[in-house]
Amino acid sequence: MLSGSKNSLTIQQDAQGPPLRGPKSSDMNGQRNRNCQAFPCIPGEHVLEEAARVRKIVRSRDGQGSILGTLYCTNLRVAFVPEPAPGDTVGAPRCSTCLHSEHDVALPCIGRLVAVNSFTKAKVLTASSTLKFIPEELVLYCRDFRVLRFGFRDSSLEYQAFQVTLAIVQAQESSSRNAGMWYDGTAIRNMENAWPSMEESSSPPTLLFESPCDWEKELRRLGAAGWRVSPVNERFDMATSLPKYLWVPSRLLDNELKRAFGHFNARRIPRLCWHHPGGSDLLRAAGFHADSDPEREDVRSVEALMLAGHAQCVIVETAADLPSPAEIQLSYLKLRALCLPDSSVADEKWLSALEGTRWLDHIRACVRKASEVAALLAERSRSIILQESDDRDLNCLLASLVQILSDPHARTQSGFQSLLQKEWVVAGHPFLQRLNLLRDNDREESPVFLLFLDCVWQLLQQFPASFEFTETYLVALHDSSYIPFFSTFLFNCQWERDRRNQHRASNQIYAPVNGWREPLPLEILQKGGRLVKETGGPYLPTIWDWALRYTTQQRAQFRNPAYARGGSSVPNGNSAPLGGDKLEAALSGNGAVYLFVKGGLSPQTHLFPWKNGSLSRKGWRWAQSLESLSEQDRSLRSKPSGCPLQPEGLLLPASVGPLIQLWRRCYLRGSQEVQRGLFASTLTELAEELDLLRERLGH
Amino acid sequence: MEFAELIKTPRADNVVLHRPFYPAVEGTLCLTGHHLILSSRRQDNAEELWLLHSNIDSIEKRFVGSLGTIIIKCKDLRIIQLDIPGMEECLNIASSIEALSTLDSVTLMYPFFYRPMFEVVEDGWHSFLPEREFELLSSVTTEWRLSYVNKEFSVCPSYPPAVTVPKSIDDEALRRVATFRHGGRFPVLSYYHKKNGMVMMRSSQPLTGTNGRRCKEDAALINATLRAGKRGYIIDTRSLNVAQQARAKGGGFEQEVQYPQWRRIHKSVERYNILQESLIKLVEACNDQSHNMDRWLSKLEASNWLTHIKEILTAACLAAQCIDREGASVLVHGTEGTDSTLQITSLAQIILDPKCRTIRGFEALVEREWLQAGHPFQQRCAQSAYSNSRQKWESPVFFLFLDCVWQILRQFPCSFEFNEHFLIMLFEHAYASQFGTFLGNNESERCKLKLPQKTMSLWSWVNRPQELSKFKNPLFEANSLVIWPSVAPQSLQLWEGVFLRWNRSSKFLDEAYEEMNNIIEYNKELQAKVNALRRQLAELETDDGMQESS
Repeated sequence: MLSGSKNSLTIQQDAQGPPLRGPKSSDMNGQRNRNCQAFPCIPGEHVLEEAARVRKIVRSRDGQGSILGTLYCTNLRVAFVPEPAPGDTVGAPRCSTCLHSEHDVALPCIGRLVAVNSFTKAKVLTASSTLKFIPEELVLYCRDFRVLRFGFRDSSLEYQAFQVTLAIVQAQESSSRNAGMWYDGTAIRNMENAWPSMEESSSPPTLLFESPCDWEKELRRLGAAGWRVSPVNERFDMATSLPKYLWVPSRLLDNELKRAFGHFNARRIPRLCWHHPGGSDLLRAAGFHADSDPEREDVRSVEALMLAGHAQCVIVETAADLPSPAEIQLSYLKLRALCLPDSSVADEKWLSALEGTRWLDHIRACVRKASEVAALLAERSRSIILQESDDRDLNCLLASLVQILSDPHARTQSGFQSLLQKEWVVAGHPFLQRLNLLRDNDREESPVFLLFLDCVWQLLQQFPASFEFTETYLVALHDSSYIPFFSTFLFNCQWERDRRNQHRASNQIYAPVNGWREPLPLEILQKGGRLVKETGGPYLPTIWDWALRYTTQQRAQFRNPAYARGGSSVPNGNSAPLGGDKLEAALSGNGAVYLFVKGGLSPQTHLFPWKNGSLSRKGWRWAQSLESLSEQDRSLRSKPSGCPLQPEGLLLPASVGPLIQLWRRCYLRGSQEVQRGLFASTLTELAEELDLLRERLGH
Repeated sequence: MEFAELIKTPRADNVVLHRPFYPAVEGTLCLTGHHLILSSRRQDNAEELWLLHSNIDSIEKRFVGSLGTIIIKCKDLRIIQLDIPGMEECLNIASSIEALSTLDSVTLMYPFFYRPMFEVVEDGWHSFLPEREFELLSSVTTEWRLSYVNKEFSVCPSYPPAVTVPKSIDDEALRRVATFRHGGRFPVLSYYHKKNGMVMMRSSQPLTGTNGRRCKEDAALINATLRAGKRGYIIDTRSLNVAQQARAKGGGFEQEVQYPQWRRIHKSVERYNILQESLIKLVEACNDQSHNMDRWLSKLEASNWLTHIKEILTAACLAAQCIDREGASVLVHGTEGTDSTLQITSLAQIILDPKCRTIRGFEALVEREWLQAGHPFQQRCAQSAYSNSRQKWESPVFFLFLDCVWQILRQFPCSFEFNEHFLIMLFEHAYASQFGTFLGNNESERCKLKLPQKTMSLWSWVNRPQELSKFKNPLFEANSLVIWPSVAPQSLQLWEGVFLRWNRSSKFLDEAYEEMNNIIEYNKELQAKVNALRRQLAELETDDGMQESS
């Protein structure tokens, strides 16, 4: 930020002398108590080392500014607490959230630690390396693209600087050794005690899709009349990675349904994601299991599932044209290296280096495919099945992107959060592996979710008035995915999430009644920490509890003031329900199957494309009587992308090169300076003052 | 009238107009002396196209059977397609458009025929006279004078009649200095930095030649701007190599021996057709609608457009830094002093002077540093990105300047009174306009053409409140500070508002912009209400106090 402008930098003056800090006390408790007063610890968290009067260095175009404060190293995180400005009222809370978003970094999120001293070379610190000099500056390169710099230039800080640096190095090292402590240790078990009570939120609650009522509620909203909520996987005995509840065709009984599981990888059967008000259905499924035998009679239920009552069924091979998780990871690592402020790429080569990361290519592929599928959904009534080998990575991405394009509800904050719960969290995206929050296995790491967030940001760029949330919100979500304090990103599937809850709950006084713990609905949590405590079970919060990390003012920036509510009523469940005759047709096996390849539809004779030719003609054969093939073979790509004649509510983004851009505010945070608006007061503040003044005038 | 001879087929029916993001329109095409008009038969007449012939950069024709197709590529980068039934009609129309869009004589251009439909409140031709600018200067310093040595354009054909020079240098000395500088462009004042009294001057290269010719009046002129014991900086917009080569052609640069109080810095900025080539490549990449656009970023990089932006901004920052940070005076020149020199002096002023970031101030800057300073608009803007002629004198110098301003505007969205549309409007009018402002190559030519008498000034139109409201930045809050733009490759972006303007639908962006405007308006209303109530309350309280005390 150009510091020159009168904006956000607060450069504080040295008001008082450095606080005296006695020699390191052997009485740990005493010291810890003292620290706890100064530093808002989460229960189970304790301060390992601290250094007062540290300067957090803030980049600015005019040189460098800094904020004076205290640097803490705890067993969970590195935190910086700014000293209150001289004008602040004494005793006012330093920050209203105990997990401060801006100055904190959880230990596993630290990517690289570098100590800088003007006399020696900058040194990358690891637990095995020895620090042979007093650092003048400590630089934390975070995995979320932040770069935190702390300066110890005051000569009186030498000892503290040395101590706190060592403590951070060791804490970081041990945090990756004891990965389990993040959810097993004392730290989190009693965490709910620490949560401040939350103010009521006016927005509708986020559906967590942990209870059947959420599934029912959402199904009603979609107006998907031919569908029901099946509890067939309630005990995770059908498929461990699937959610407890599935949306399946109403006509299909659970008994028939059970026969379908064996035909799919990891038993992840086709199930409904979204119902288009025009009649189409979006489904997702894993690939066919290698041992599945199309000759068997029970394949009928597979057919019924896939056709879902439609005369036409389009299978979208999700992985085709999209990057694999490994490619995404590679690309992400390159991007991160490029975006660090000390990247060695020459200025003239920056753009080709950016291209070389292929990150933007991957985004383009995802955005293009999602808009093609969204167009297919809107075109005519059919069922579209997103099929990915394990149905846990790019299917999550594609299914949610398609819904964002098609359903204005998914562009509201609560709708978006519900969508993420449904298509990612409970659908079993292996967040723990992919985000590698605990750094226990680098091989499975792949930021599929972050790629998705970037895709959403691209849409926000192209349709700035169509989203209820802002870029700030997406950045917050991006950052949250590197914070291991929340249940959302700490598990690979709902079963693990539930199991952990159950396990931990059994250690409590109030054991759950049903054998598995009923998750606390958000509403209860929102009434305040006390109620949660009374109900007994430990509660690992979801990241949707934004108030835990973001102040009211910060959260106000999540809302897009330019959001035009107009379009949000489109798919509201008032559409005509599916005709019964269609369902009949499907169940009797008369349907046409197409494969969606390279933007066009190609007819399939077999339900199992990989068995083509190897099977006798007796096998499953699909009637093609309903459509002439030529009509179906046309390419969707010839349609102009981003045409103005879009059906209401449907966004068709452009995906040509110049319109896919780098998410600068997220990735270039280490080096980008932004001038913020200079408006002193927000709308709400003004409105409040207006009321107050009116009232006073009234007297 | 002679246009009639050029128009072989004045109208054609059943012509179909194709534009990206709009449905095709069928209608009647009419050719007039200055416009290509398409009107549909629809009642509401909404789908009309009015295109100035001078806006047409190039045309292509194709035939399928008897159906002819003309593709028109405009200087504002738009591409439209007209399907015209009948081969003869099509050929006639194409050749007419070609002839009308490449008229040789300036006096046949539309500004000489344009009659405004609005009432002129303020005549733009008199809005930014050098005398008025000098008045402002005299209120802060007395070290300068307005010289009319060039009254008859005899000393320097590309300078205006009145220029600001150091008071201690008389007109005779100026005449001698003029013979020592390329094209007679002796050093003149470009900007006075009120904060510390430092100045920026501009000129052309000194004509030292191979034998090291010197001119003591020249040294005296620029030394007159230095404070005792202080050094100044000469920013040469050529590389040292190029500057040395210029000596062979009679040009050169200031040698240390003759200018001991000056430090020379070479900051190379590209010029002429290299810039034009860059623009052509960039626009080609932007228009490539093929779907395997995987190489987009390489193409963008290979066009070097952003590199040129970076060079120009870096040099401008350097000049600004010398003045503001080093507290030194600066002289900027390249070879002729009419292109890169002006880019740098004008951008440095935007960085340093908050006034230049207002609408009025920016107009004054364009008038002072580009029009009066003799940037040859007519030559440089004769063709745009679709030109086939590739003449050396065609170069998007002013366009690059506007792009640089946009880059700064994007980095400091609250510090400018104008918005992106204002810059786009200037870009359009520099290339094709109904106004006379950008006609001619310098004041002397404008004077001979009697533009102020015969044409309307762009500023007369822009400065009307109705028009101004479109160009105002709702986020503007006067920022009195120097703003230092970042020139890192991460900070420079493609100016989508110009380069992708016709390749994307702006509907959604416009909606959001509109919404932002409303919010800011509402905010202002609330603020005004709060202020009024505060005042009222304060008044009541003083009343109470007086009652109590009485």
